[in-house]
Amino acid sequence: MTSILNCKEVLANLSCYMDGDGAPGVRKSIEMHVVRCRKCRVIADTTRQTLELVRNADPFQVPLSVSARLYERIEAVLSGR
Amino acid sequence: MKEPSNHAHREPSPESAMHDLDLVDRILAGEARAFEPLVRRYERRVFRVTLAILGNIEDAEEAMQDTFVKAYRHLSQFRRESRFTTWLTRIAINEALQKRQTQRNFVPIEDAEAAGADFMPQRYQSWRADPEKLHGKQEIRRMIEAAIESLAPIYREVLVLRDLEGLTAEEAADALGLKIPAMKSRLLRARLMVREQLAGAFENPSTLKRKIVARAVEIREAVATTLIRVAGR
Ligand SMILES: [Zn+2]
Repeated sequence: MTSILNCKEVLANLSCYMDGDGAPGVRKSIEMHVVRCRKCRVIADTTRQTLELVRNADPFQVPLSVSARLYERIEAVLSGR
Repeated sequence: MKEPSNHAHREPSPESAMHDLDLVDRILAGEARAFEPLVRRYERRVFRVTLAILGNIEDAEEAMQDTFVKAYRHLSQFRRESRFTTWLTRIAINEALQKRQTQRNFVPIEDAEAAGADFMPQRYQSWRADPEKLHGKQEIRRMIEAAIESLAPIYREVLVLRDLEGLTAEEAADALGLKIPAMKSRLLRARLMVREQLAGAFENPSTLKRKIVARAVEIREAVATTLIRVAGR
């Protein structure tokens, strides 16, 4: 059985929906709502795009100097100094 | 003795191909050097986690070093029920959370929670399908980093743990001492806040036609509201 969700409820469940969670009935209701509601469709699509961008961007590299100091510290620990 | 320089027959360097658990075995058997490949393999993950929680490179660096030192010294306590990365990540999260307690400028969690609880999206324009063509990879990375950095720590940490480091909902909630629904609600807000930050750069340019349509809808709605009000008198 599917109930009708309003925009606020769709938004509240959006994250879980994207992660593949949520009861089948709720998932179905979200899908039905999004087909008809432009605002929620845009939010759903652009949030999905956001996650793709975040993952593909591979952000936050370790700065070289930070990395070098880590190896120094580990070297000292491993050699028992 | 010289190796034949035939790439087809070259074996991967044994150390880098070794399984985490085999390296752990070697370390526990007294071969301390076997810890180095583990550091190289996971420095990135540990740094991201500590940076997400602490919000500045200096503190993140210290927590990262302490994480690896602690992992090395307490390696015998590692139970093989979980993966080595799960165990190491857990240490990193704990180190960073402990350190955060001592940060003077840390916004109390209740305040940050309240500030984000009623967050609602403001931008409802669709995005271009090919943002990578419009902006270079470096530029996009900078934008993503800036957007994530701008989040309050309680939102930043769930986003990094779940969406960058791929922890399960249970692992992330457990490590942060949250109930799963609370973690999920923070994750939703974190994702929406990042979306909002990026929207300006990635939205479809609004065409004149689209503006006219939007305006027409507004006028129709305004007229309808007025008519309903008039009818209600
Ligand atoms: Zn809607």
